[in-house]
This record gives sequence, structure tokens and C-alpha cells, in this order.
Amino acid sequence: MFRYVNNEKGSALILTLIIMVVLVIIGATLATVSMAEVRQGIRHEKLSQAHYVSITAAEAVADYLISNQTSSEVKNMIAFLEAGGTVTFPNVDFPNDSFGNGTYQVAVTGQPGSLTIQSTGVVQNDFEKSNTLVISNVYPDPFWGEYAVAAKTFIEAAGGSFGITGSIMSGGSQKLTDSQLNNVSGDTIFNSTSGFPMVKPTFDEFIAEYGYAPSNTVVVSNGITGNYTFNHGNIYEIGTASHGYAINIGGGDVLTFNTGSDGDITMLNLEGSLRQGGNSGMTFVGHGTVIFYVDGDIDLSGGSWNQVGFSGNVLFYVPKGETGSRSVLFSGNTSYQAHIIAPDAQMIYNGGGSNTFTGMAVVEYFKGHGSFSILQEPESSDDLNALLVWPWIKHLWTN
Amino acid sequence: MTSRTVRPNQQGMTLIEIVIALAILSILVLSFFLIFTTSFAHIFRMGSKTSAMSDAQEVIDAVYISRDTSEAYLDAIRDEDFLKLTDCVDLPNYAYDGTHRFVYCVGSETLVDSVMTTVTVKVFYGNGSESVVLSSVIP
Repeated sequence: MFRYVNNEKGSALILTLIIMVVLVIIGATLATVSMAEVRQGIRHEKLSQAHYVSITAAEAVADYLISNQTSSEVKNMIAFLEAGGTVTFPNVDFPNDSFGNGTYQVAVTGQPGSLTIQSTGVVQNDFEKSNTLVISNVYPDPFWGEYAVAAKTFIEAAGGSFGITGSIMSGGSQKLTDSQLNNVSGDTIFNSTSGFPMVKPTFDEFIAEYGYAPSNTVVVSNGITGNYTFNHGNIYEIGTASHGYAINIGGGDVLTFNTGSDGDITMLNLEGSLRQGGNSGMTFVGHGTVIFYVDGDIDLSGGSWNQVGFSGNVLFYVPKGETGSRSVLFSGNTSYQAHIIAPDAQMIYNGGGSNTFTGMAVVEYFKGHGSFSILQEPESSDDLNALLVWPWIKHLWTN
Repeated sequence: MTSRTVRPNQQGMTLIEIVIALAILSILVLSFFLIFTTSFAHIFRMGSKTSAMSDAQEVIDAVYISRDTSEAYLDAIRDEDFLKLTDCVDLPNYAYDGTHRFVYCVGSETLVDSVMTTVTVKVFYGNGSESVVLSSVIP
């Protein structure tokens, strides 16, 4: 009995050691798992930041190439790339902490009609993420000229009632309510990936592409602020009068356009904004085409607009402004017939209740107020393509 | 006679031995307690952080695709109340207000000669004392 008891000497120590070893193993395992979780959490955060650095850099390069594709520098670069060349963009540190203070490396390669932007985002030197963006010079599908309103971002309507006889398309998400959509008779497309066009950035490039050889150039250096008559076969170079307006009429003044017959052209190069206010008006005599190249804003709120024939006989082209967004404003109770190509301008349509806009508009953003109606008259791709920059569009993301 | 033989083996531990044993035990228990609690805290914290990162990515990706930065749109996709700051400068030091787990702003970065519009999202997690921040471009 006592011998048996004596044999238990030291069992407490062994038991204690066993428990301690088990606890140490559990503790070590937990600590290891914990450290792995911490590392994984940090890795997830840094890789996410590197991913968005990479995407942002690729988008910036794509935007640079697409926005400046008509400049001689980028034109030459694209030609070099399409011939098989490679262009790298210098690494730039992101100043923004939320980008993880990352850096990027971008290399662009190409083949005819397609450029591949390989972008790598790097955060804290150890965390890298790469993405590849392909931009293509392809036919826009759907084609923006076949819509009453095609907006690069959003189409919105506030208050009143409106009716659109035709189709609408926007690159952003749906902003119209379901009941408002019932006021659109044709197709409604949102989140479109169709490439939006750009107006030729300079008037010289515009007419060079259009192939129009003017018989005469009329220079109106101090702008137009009253009655004026335009005749077909001329290009009118109109400088600014005051407050940045090239044409600023009101108070019953009328602009008369003797447009001639089909095929005749009257072209206005406005170096500033266009405003038709008060009871002023525009009268178009004949069936020729009048083209407004407006290097500024458009504000049409005047009292009368007399035009016969196809709405496409009056074309408003608004190039991208150097700073800020351009605006195209239609208001009052006057009905207008025109085609508006202003893909970098906001179009605001303040309806007066009984006015109709007949034609089509390609704008950055469209917002309608009050009661208005739009009657779609499409523009053919053949007519528009010569006047616009054929867009390179973002096409595909790959990892 | 027998009791005399056994008595020396039944001597108890001294007070000092007990104190030392308790001290060692306390250190061991405390050490293991700290290891366990810290480990679990880290694991749960990182789980929350990973979840918050995923939420931030979901928001960023939704804005990237839709180009819609309105509070109403983001409220709808997450079914939570978002707060949009007018200036991104205020975002880094913005503290949890007890209501808005998602705070965001729209800013700009100049990259490759292009002014790019960006969206930055801050997502609070845990008890609101910690947060993750992500930025991306809006094409």
C-alpha cells in the first residue's frame, strides 16, 4: 500500500508539464493563426489598393489617349503603337493616402485598331497587382445618332410632364423613374458602353474633315448683337462682343439665314457663346444646311424659330472647353428644329409647356425641367462621321 | 511503528513554496490568457477588417460601373445610410458618428495630364474606432 503511494512521486510534475505543453501548443497555434490573419488582412488591404492604383493608372492613360487623340502628339503616338511600338509612361507616386501612396507602371502596346494598356500598381514595394485595359477604334454600337437623346453620363427629368417620341441612350445608370420611362415611346438604353464621339477640337480641323471649300469668308470680329443676315456659301468667322458672346441677340432682333437649296452650306465659326434671348428669333429661308461651330455655350430662349424641312439642316457643334463643362440651354415656349452634337456639354431643356424640340442631341448630360416634348429625327452615321472624331473606346479589362 | 515510518513522507509544503507555486502559476495563466485573448481579438479584428474591405470594394466597383455617386444610389445598393462629404480633405480625419458606417467623397487626381475624377470610401468597422479607406477612379 505504502509502496504503491510512493510510486506516485513526481506524477504532478509530469501532469503539469503535459498540460503546459498542450497549452503552449494551443497558444502557439492560436498565435500563428492570429499572425496569419493579421498578415492576410494587411495583404488584402494593400493588394486592393494596388488593384485600384493599377486600374486608375490604366484609366488615366486611356483617357489621355482618347481625349487627346486629335492632337499631333497623341496622333503620332497612336500611329507608332499601331505599327507595333511600345510606349511606357513614367512612374508617378500617388499623393493620396487612400491609394496606399502607391506607384504605377504603365506600358502600352498596339496593333492596328487596338491598343493594350498594361498597368501595374505597386504599394509599399511588395504588393503588386496588374490589370490590362484594351481600347479599340471600333464602330460605336449602338450608334448615338439614332437616338433622340444620347448622353455620355445621365438623362434626368424633373417636374412637369414630358414626352419623347423616339429612343434614348445614356452611358450612366437609369435616372428616370418607371413612370417617366413610360413617356418615352422608343428604346431606353442605360449603362451603354458605346463610344461617344468628340467634335473636332479646332474649326480648321473641322472644315478640313468636312471637305467644305468656302467661296468666301466673312469676318465679324466684334460679334453680332442685333439683326443680321447670313448667306449660304460663306464661312462667318465671328469674334466675341462682350461677356464671351459671339452672338448675343434679344429684344426682337432676328438672325436671317438664306440657306439656299439642298447641298448649300452656311457655316458659322463662333469664337464665343451663342445667345438668343428675349423676343429675338432665327429665320431659315431655303433648304440648305447651316452649321454652327460654337466654341462656347448655347442659350436659346428667344421668341421665334422659323425653319422648314429636315431638322438636320441646322447643326450645332460644341467642342470640348479648355476648362469646365459647356452648356446647351433651351428654354421658353419656342419650338426648335436642330441636331446638337455636344458630347462634352450639359444640355438643360426648360420646357414651357407647348414647345417641341425636333431632332437629336448627343450630349454629356441631359436634364429636362417642366413640360417639354422631343421628336426624334435621326442623323445618319455617314453624315456625322466625317464631322466627328472617330472614338477610341475602352473595350475590355483582363487581369 | 508504521506511523513513524510514514510521517517524514507526509511533510506539507511550506508557505514560501505555495507562494512561489502560485506566482509561477499566475504568470503562466496570465501569459496564456493574454496569448489567447490577443490572438482571438486579432482574428476577429482582421475578420471585421477583411469584411470592411470587401464592403469598400463593393461600393467602389458599383460606382465605377454606374458612375453614379449619389447618396440615394449607394444607400440602395447596400441598404445602409451613406454620408457624402463635400470635400475629400475632411475624409482622413473623419470619425465615426455612430450612424454612418460608410462615408465617402468625390475628388480628383491629375494623372498623365488628365484630371481624373475619383471616389474615396471610408468604412468603419468593429466599434467604429477603426476604418479602412479605398480610392479608385470614376471613368
